[in-house]
Amino acid sequence: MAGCRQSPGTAMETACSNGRGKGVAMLRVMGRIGIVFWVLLFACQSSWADQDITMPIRVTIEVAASAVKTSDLDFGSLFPDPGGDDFILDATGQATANGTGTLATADSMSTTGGTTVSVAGQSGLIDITTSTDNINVTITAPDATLLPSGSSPDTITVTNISVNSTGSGASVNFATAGDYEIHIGGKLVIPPSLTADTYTGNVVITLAYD
Amino acid sequence: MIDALRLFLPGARVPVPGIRRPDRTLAVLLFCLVMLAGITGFSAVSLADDSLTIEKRLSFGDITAHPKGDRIIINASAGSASPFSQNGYSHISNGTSGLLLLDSSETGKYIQMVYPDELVLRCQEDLGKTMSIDEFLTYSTPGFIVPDHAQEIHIGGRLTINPNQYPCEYSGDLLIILVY
Repeated sequence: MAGCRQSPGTAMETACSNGRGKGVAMLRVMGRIGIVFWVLLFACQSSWADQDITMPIRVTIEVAASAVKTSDLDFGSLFPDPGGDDFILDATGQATANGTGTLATADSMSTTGGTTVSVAGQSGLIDITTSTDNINVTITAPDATLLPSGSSPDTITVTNISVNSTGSGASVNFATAGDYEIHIGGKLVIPPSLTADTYTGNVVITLAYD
Repeated sequence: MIDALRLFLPGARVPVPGIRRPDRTLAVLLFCLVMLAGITGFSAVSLADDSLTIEKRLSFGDITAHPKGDRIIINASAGSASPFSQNGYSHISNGTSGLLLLDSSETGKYIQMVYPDELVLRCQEDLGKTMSIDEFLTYSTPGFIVPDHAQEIHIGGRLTINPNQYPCEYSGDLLIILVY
């Protein structure tokens, strides 16, 4: 390579000129290839290029309704019919008071036999607070709940809770958000020759909102 | 550099006997630069100069949801927006659309926003409890031509509350892609 620069006007210079020409041509070709390559890549990358970012999202869901039992269902003190009886505490006539509303109708008690009432009982009471409008509430309970005696093997059965409670088994509509009352009644199935005692038990009341 | 070229083209003959070393060096250097620029993505480097920041996160707020379920919509397609209930019964407070700020040197170029079809939010107390957001594209900035100032990008969406949705704080991460 150094010889090319040190031999002007000689055959070596001609050879060097030819070599330099090839080199320049190669340079041009490589340059053109590079330009085409670059243009293609730039065009492609114009559509590929992107950025991404991650945005956090949050939301808090709160309960639309809450319920609290404020009174037990109490059938009172009864003198049962010795042959057995059905004693019904019907709370369906009770109003579903909103806010400070008063009850429109008292509980209704009835019997199919000769049972008499010594001390009147009262329907169970559930206070419901709704936070949204137009909520329907449906009350459901087990078909039968046993109330055992505290001192004998006798039991009394409570049935028909839903149909003797607010709504009579159907859903109750609470049109606006606020405080409401649900009254719980039921039918007491008294067996024949029942031992005199206090009979107690628990029943699970389910309130379905929709 | 010639040796380097031989390395790039093993076994190939390098036909540059007459070219001066500076010329060959320049040629190889130019070629390598072009290749390097193409491989590393020169335009992507320029995009990296863009500034994309989250100014406000997307929040559907605190919702007292109707037991039947509901859909909560934030329609930010025309700018900042608050959530509203589709059935009108759920009570909502504190929600707002998300906001991104893009400061780009790509003035005049169209940028398309790409959102996922659906995003699942999970209850922080019980990850098995979920709810979902969809329709991001409908209720968000769909795309824009980059102005000569910072561009606000508003993000909305549609939240589906299931019937009797479990009360909880739900959260998730939304991946947004800006395609140039």
